[in-house]
Amino acid sequence: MYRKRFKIFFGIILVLFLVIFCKLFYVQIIEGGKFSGMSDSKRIRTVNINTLRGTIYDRNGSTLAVDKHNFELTVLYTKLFNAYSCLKQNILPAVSGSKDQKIIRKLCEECHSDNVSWVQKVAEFLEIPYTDIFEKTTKIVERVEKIKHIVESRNERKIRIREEITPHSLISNVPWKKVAKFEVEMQNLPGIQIETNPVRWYPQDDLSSHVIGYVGKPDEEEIHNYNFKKRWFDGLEESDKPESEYFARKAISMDSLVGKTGIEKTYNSRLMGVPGEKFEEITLDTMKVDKLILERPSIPGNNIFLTIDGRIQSIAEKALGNKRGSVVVMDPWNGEIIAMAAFPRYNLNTLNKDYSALSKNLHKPFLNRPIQSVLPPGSVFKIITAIAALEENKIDENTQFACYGSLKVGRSSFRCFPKYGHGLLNVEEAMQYSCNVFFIETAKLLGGSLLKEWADKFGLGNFTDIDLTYERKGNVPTSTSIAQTMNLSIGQGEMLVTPIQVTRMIAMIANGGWYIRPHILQKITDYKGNILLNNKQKPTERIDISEKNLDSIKRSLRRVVTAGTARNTGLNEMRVAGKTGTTQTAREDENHAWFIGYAPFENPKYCFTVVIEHTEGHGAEVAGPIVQNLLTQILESSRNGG
Amino acid sequence: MNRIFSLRNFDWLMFFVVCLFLVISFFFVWSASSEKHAFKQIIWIGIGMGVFSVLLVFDYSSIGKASYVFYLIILFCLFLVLIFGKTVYGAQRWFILGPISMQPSEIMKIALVLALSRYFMDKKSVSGFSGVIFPLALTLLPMALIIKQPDLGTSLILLPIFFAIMFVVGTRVRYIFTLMALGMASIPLFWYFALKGYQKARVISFLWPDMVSSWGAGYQRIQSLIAVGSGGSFGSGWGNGIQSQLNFLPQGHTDFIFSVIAEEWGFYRSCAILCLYVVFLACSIGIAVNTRDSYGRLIVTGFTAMFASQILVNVAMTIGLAPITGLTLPFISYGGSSLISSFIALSFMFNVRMRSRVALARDEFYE
Repeated sequence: MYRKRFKIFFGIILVLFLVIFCKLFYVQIIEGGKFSGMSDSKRIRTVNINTLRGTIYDRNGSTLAVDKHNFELTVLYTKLFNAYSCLKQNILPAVSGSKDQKIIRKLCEECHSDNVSWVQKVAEFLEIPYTDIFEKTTKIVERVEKIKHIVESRNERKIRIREEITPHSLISNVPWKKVAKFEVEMQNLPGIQIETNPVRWYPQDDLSSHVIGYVGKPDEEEIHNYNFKKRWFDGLEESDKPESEYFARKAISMDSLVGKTGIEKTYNSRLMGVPGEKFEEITLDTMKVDKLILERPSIPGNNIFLTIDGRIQSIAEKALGNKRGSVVVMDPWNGEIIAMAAFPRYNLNTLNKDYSALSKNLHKPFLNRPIQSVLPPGSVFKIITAIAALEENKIDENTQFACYGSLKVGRSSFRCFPKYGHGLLNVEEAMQYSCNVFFIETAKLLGGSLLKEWADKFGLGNFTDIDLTYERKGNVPTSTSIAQTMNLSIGQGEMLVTPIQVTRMIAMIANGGWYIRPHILQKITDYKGNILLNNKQKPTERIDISEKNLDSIKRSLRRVVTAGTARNTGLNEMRVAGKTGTTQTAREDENHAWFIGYAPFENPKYCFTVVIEHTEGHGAEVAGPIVQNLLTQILESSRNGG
Repeated sequence: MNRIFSLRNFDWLMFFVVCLFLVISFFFVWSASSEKHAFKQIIWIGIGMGVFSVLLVFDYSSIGKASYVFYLIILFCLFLVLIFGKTVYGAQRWFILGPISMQPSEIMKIALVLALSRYFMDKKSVSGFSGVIFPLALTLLPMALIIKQPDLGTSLILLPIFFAIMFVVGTRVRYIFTLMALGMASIPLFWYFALKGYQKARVISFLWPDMVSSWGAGYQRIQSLIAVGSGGSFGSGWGNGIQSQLNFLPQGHTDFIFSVIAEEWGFYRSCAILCLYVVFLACSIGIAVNTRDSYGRLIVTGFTAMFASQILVNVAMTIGLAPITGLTLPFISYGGSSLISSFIALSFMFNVRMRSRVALARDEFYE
């Protein structure tokens, strides 16, 4: 009985195998040619379906960068080639009215009319001179023939190359009205199509152009590093699964656009979509699509929402005007960048045209100054010196030093702003008047290493890890001599910081010592609008600093505006607290003017940094009005906007 | 039972066939993905061979004593993997233990064979329908857990194992058909409660291929069919398959390796490979028939059913006869987990053959 059952068991297996054999025979032998696509007359063609890059919005949802459809007239290669050969034989449609051409055309009408007539029709339809079309046709055909020649000579046989069976773009930027008409009027022109191609469009021209960044064709390295897996297979382990490599290869090619700078680069893999594919069976002679074998639709990229407020950004850019420098406005509680302006800027929409002029500009318009411009902080750094000295108990609130207008230390001498000095003052007063002598005396007590330690704590001379590309680090040097320490204590010397670092520093004072990470990403949604990532950041770590000292610093920063170096700027009424700074440059009449601060001082809503590079005049004079302008308008717009 | 390990009873034919599969595996994993994968596969083959030889040293019946314990451990692992497992392709099947990632559902197949065989070892036959309940529970419990992962393919493979062992052990055919009928009747329930969306899509794309032709379930199926179809009689030659080389075929080196073979080697040679599988299965049935120990016979039957169903479902899926289930082709598909579980199963079959021939006692088989 058992043996019999084993026989039946094996019998079942055999029968099933037989079924498989039959089906395999059917698929491979009987139906074999169906999919092979390698026969001479028919072929399977892959057509890429374009995808859209994600849109970039500001925090209010107004569009900063979006993919717009660009309509292209495409023509099949055979048509181009026929027209080209007619052109070579000087058989042209008689548009110019020349008699000779008319005759030639008449003679050849029967054999050639079909080859050339499409050119005439297209020219009439688009209202462009037909010679333009011929010129472009010649260019395309000669290029393809050249490739074909190379391929054939390498293989030593006749080969039909890919370019010969795909349509070529002849005219781009076909206006929308024509496109609508085309569908109706061009029915009788097989092989000529209007295709849509996305182009990047920036509705607000140069608004926050540095933050958005620009897109361009990828280079080898970018293709190689494109981290597709992270994007589309979030569940997939970071493995070497070939299919994800396949998609990566599909998703990024030499023709696709990738972000080169700014947000476009940081979140490039999010913004990029996956192009679709269409497999069509075509007959080679007529180029007719026989049937659609398979279509994989494209998936648009994710949308990015920025923390930037378009209104405030534009206020900041206007307030900055034509002065070389940067303005940063940030929420001190979570590090959201609300505005980040720089001048000079570039217009993203006309970037291709302007590129050569811009790159020659000595003021470096491509520099994203808030994160890439490294400058000595000047008196702004005195905040750190004061905090360090107070915290390390080298001075207290009542410690006084006398200022006589200048101080000689060894061979070097430091000058204070008023010729005869500020007299006796304590730390709050010293901050208020930005007294160099007081801070130099303090630095003597403090020493270089402690100064650096506190500068590090507030993130000066260090990356803020903002989600933008090519941030610069700056430098806070370790002091080697007492003279250098003194120089550093008032923010001069080799110390270099970026405006964003200084903004973070003032934000940390405004929010009571909490570490924050400046960022620009608010959320990411997919193309349908589902939120994929919400970038709400809360500070978790606090600098070890006593409330008493912090209050004292805050009081002194308020006094800067009410009665100190910035008293005449009209910021008092706006409840601002801040600090000015003027950094000398190598040239006598050029300074960097700083103004950093926050408002309202009791419960800060915004903190800001304004720095004007290479300017005449002092911090409060130059940067003060900009701050005043900026804050007035922000207050106004927030009142208007509810 | 005092049995002696003897190399004379080593099934050289079967071993040779397996070696052929491994060679084919190396070349087609290479062709379908990359050199890197192919050499990784060699490492896995090495590990598999190691496991195979080590297991041969132990008497299978001594391992078999721990069947239930082993079964329970793996069942527990399945629980754990549902909770902590790593998600791959949207399914939690993997355990990550340091550098090794393990798929307990692969091992579960082996555990089930051992447990079912253990259960029927002492029974002369299945008396009454009640005798079916316990082994059915043994099967359905892991099935439910594996479906939950969700891994439809592996969970369905447990059914042929169950039915094969039930059949061979002498259950009345009436019972088996009743069970099958019950199973059929529960399909709607299954459809609404257990299947995930993509699994439904796969089944639909199998039943009505024209309906789902876009990217997704239908895509793999059609791509695989195009690949197999374009192979023709003699194929396009190793490394020349359009479908697989241009990566139209997802998972060409794992689940769909047979499509790659069919495309590049053509009808005749892919048939030859199928014939090799038939030889392999015939050998294993031969071991089962010639074994005098009922426990040994049952495990060989179980493993034969496991291999047979895996081969059949995998190949059927590549040529459009079965829905896409995510089962691997034994000994040929790329992947450590499936390779090692195949080797463990193989080792048990060899073990049975090498030890039972010299057993002196005639057992109930010849009564």
